Amino acid sequence: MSSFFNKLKSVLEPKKEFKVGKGLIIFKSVRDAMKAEKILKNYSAKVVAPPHEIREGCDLAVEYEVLEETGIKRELKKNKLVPLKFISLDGQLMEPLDIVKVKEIQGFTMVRSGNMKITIDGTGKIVNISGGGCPDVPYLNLQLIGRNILEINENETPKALGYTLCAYTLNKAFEEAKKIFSGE
Amino acid sequence: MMVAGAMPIKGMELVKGQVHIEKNKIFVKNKEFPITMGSGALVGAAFKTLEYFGMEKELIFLTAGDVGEGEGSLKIYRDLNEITEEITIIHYIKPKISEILNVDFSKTVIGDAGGMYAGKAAGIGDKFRMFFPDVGELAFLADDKSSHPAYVRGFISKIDDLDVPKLIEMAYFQKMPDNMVVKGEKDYIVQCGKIIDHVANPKFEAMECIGGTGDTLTGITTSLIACGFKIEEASILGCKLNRKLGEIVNPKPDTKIYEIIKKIPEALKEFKL
Repeated sequence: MSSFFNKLKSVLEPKKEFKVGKGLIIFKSVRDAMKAEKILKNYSAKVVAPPHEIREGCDLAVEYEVLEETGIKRELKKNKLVPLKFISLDGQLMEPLDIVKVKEIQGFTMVRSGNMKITIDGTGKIVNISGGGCPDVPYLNLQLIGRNILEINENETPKALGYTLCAYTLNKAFEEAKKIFSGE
Repeated sequence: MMVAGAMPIKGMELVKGQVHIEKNKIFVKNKEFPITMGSGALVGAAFKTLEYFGMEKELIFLTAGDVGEGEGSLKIYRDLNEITEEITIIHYIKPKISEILNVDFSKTVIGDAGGMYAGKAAGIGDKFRMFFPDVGELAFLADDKSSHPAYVRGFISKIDDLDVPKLIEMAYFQKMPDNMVVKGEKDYIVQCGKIIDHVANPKFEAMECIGGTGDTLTGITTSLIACGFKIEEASILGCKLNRKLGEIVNPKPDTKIYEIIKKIPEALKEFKL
């Protein structure tokens, strides 16, 4: 008898399938989703059927690895493809860390966001970048160190040059440091 | 001993071979790399430590070019499907769950940076021998739902620097390596979820700013293990040596990691090792 109730319970309350580190991009049309899959061929992106609760017809969505979100957003923007939204498949809505801390050390300013840190001297020159584990961090380090944060334009920011969540997190610290030095 | 990690050179093919260092440059086969934060700093620190013990020829660097797109990381993962070296550190690499699952764990594999992120996200932390998280990364290890340190649930990230022992306890509810060094204001040496020791002095605030100081800790500690020190002994010594380097260099927030790495032999000598 109990197995009957268990079966009934599983039908009424289906177990959600969590996909660690995966997300879903929802588009307004199947055409856009297919176009996105083509554009994102160098990423771990594939066309899937969206979950039942958000399905509006014969929709398609693109499943991707959240780690690659920064690069994917940039690639879609470059190709003028506007998604409706990005959702997490982790079983919960998770926003990237939004805590930014500022510390003054020996006349330098260190700004930390999550696992990433950027340090600026009194003139606004970036003197060190620390933290992270994704391969674009050493690349960003080489690109940004020695440059004045106020002279770095939009297409040279960590978000514009990087591909991973580490770059995204570093960008938050970068933006905060820029605000401090531009007196905003 | 092998260091496996990407270098920030777009399109560079897989390179694997013995390491030679001159001034602030790493040479592997016919390639030349800078000693900069990331895998470069780890290789630099490992070389200097092994060289002190006359074992520098044991060091192999497995690398490929990757600026974040993942192509080079993929080549490194594929080469790790079979590992012949006794100890391998997987370092700066794009975390890929599907690829880390195919790594050969029959020998000792240590995870740091992207290698650690991938191992935890894939739920195979216990296949590694050791992790080297900082406090932010420890919060990620402690969060059973997180797949990257940038996505740590708020209630865990707020624990932050406040309660490292609590985060260690939470992390060990997941699959974790037997050994861990949690680096920070105070370094914690952990074995099977228990804090067995800590190193807190001397303190140099500027070290936190310098990209690569965590990489030097991993490089020194792992090299000491490769030289025959027990893991717990190497961990404590590694933390003490990293702080001794601070004392020798007296760093400022704009000090570059190479200036610290070149002082490793001096620090080892002061410890009479």
